[in-house]
Amino acid sequence: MVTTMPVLRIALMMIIVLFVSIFGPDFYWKANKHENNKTNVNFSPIKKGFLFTHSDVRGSSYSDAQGKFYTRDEFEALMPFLNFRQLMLAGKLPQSIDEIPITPKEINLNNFTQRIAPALIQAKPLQLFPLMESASDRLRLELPPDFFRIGRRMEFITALTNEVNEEKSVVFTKALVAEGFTFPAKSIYGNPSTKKPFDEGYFVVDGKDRVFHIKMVKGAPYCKDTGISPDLHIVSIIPMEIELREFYAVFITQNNEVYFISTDHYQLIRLPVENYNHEENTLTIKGDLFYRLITINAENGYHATVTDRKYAVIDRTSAAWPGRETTISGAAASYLFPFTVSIEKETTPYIQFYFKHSGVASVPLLLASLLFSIYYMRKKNVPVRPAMMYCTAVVLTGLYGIIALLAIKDYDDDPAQKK
Amino acid sequence: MLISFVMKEWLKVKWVFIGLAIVHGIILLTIYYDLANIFKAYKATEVIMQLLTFEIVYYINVKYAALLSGVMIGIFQFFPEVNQSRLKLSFHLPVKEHVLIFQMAATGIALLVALNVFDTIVISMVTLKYLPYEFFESLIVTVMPWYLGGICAYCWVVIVFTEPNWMKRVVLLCIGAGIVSLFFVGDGYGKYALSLRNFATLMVLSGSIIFLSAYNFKRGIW
Amino acid sequence: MNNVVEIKNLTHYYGKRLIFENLSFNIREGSIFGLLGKNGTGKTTTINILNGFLRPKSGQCLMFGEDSYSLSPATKARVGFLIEGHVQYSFMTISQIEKYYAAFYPKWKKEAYYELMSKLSVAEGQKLSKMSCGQRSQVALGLILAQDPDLLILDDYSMGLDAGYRRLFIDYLTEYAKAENKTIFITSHIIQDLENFLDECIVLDYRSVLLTMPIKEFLATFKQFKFDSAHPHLTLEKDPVIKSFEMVKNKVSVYSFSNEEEVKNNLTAKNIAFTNFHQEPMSLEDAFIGLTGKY
Repeated sequence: MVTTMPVLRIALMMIIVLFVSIFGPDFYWKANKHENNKTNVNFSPIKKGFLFTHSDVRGSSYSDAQGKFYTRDEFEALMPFLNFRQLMLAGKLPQSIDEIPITPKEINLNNFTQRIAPALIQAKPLQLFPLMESASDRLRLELPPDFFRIGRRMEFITALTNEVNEEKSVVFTKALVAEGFTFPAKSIYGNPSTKKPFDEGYFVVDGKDRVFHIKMVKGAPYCKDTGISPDLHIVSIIPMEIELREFYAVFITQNNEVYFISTDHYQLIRLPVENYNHEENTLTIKGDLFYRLITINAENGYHATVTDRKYAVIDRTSAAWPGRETTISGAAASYLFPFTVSIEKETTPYIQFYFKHSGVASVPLLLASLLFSIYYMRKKNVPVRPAMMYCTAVVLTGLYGIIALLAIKDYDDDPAQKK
Repeated sequence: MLISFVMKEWLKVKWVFIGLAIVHGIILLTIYYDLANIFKAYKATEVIMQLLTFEIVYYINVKYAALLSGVMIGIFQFFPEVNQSRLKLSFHLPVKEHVLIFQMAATGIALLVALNVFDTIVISMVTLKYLPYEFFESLIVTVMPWYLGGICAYCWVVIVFTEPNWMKRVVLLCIGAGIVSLFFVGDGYGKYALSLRNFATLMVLSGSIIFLSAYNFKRGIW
Repeated sequence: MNNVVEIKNLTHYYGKRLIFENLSFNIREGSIFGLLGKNGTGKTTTINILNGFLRPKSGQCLMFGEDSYSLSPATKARVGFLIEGHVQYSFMTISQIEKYYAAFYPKWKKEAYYELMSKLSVAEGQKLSKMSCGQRSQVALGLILAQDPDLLILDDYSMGLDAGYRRLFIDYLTEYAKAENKTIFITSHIIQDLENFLDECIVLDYRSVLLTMPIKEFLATFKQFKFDSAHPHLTLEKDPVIKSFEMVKNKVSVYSFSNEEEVKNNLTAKNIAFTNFHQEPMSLEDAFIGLTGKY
């Protein structure tokens, strides 16, 4: 028992360091709450320029790139596509813009917003999906009586009996094989909701990274190789079943490229996205009658690109604001805490020990901690080897290490440490 | 010798273990009936769709059962040992102290594992009866952090009990509560899928502190 | 003869409070050794150090030649230990606890335990927690006797016991000690029981040792003298001759290892007048109180 003590004391130190590095900063930030800048970027078809909505506890304010502020009414008038219902109510919806006549129906059809957060890309739900009837003659979409999986074959499990629908499974598997599908599927992307206007089934990445479009039309399988190159290394496909029917889906690649899969023979449209990191940033694609606005939101800023309907860049804007780290409490935090650990992170649904280093700001306190631990080791007459072990631990963990060291101080007069 | 030792540990926790087994049984029955009834009340597709969309963990109560069991077995196994310093009796036995502590903790953990296995088997059976295989697959990775957390809670109860100094007991209780809480964060299927190994390490690390605490107890009995 | 226990320069503190300093004594194999002292003088502390339940601040404590803090299992098997208050596993029954301990000791003598149990009017299936304090003490004693240890350590066996059970204890211990080379180390706060039982004793005072010697020698050489004094507020300093002094009205008692003549000379030298000077016979308890004082 005696000989293993130093190892155990290090184990306790590690646990204390973990405890303090999780709960210490957590508590600190509860006490020093930092409000993040919330700016929404828009592009005005009237002004042909960016407009910004700033929201905080006082409410919203509106400005343009030149710093001119607008009232709410002015803003709404400058953004007729976004606010067409409000403008209609006030009788202020223009008949035409740039001499192009506009109707509420057209505006509504062309408006869409697709937000893609990192957690959405990271999430891996249970690989079990309902395949709806895509060409139903019913008014609304309905859930099928079964769910499918694509393992060694495409299999339908009847929900009520929890048994495989052999007949349907065989039919669909055959259709997939005929189209050259390689089992098992690597990922399946769909939007299993009955609240969408229509159903386009699923985009499925097969065993050889090829993308297939699978749906059910009049009870029969529809399976199509999209011809999308496996070299793109898709990380996620987000189906977009919107009335506009210009594209089936948007997908993100490993290299942070963003593509639309157009409804025209699955042709790819690459979006002119810059400064995007799908693991950290939220991507928002907004469409209206005239433009596409692509916004990359990071913790401390944004990049926005506006294009015409042919995806040619019209303008770009970006902003960065001082993050939590640059505030007084933030600077104090990075000085105090050499690193922080959290087990939850906004950008992923998974729980893990997420480390975040504070960088050079923590160096002075790390060195001070080292000096303290050396002094402490000498005062306590700790022999050289364990002392070096403790000092190393402290120089790596700073304040946490000191807390851990003091917490285990009574364990010091251990027989393994002959004085 | 080992049998005799396990027998003693069993005598201490016999009633609380039986009590816990009943609690687990009731929880499992509730899970079974709730699932069975919901399938009777609603369309099967819709039920499954709800489970998938909202990641409803229909066996979530197993989480609390695992935590409760860890704490209770820890208390009932170690309170009699610390009360009147009975641990002295064990330490006086002609057995090496660390072997002794290991056997004690291993007995407690084995009982927890027995409850965990019982839970897993029953939920698996219920799951396979009503739901597709995918739910069963996600089950293990979903319940595992709770089981590890239950064992970790047990370890910290033991650590707190065997610590002779009251002040340090309070500190260890806080640390233990914080560490154990990490195993029970978040809802949904398989949220710990990527970190199970790390959490298992944290549990083992916590378990090793029992030796430190017990050693401290031996050193510090007044 | 060999020493079973050797204690050398033992010093211990609880926090900043000194319990004892440089405590040294040996226990010879085959002897019955008593550790006497008032409450709080460190009897249980010494026992805990001896059993390895406490690490002394300094000094050494050997049991069968091994450092008591890290005793080998083999040595622990040779030592029987009665915890203060006869603490045992109260959740076990009489037969369960016997079976439990039997597994650990190869020399286990089941009969010794059940012989003792047969004298108690309890059933085998009775739990210890449902027994009286006296009965529990017999269970604890029975377990130790069944273990058949070479060294028996008893921490305040008399705690909570009435005269009958105390006598029973001493009787069994006496019987046990008759066997070859069995050593007993005992502490008690009831001294009178030990008078004809102990071979040797050590008397602890707060922070120091008052005495270490064979009990016969102690009783033979330690004397009480009484005299009358006319001085109403007589005080006597302790010195090599006068070990202790007390006065009730005009009756004075002094305790000393010296003979009558030396005590008288000591008093005369201090200009203390006395009448009716005589020696008073003492029991072990009287001698203990004489040595340690009443307070």
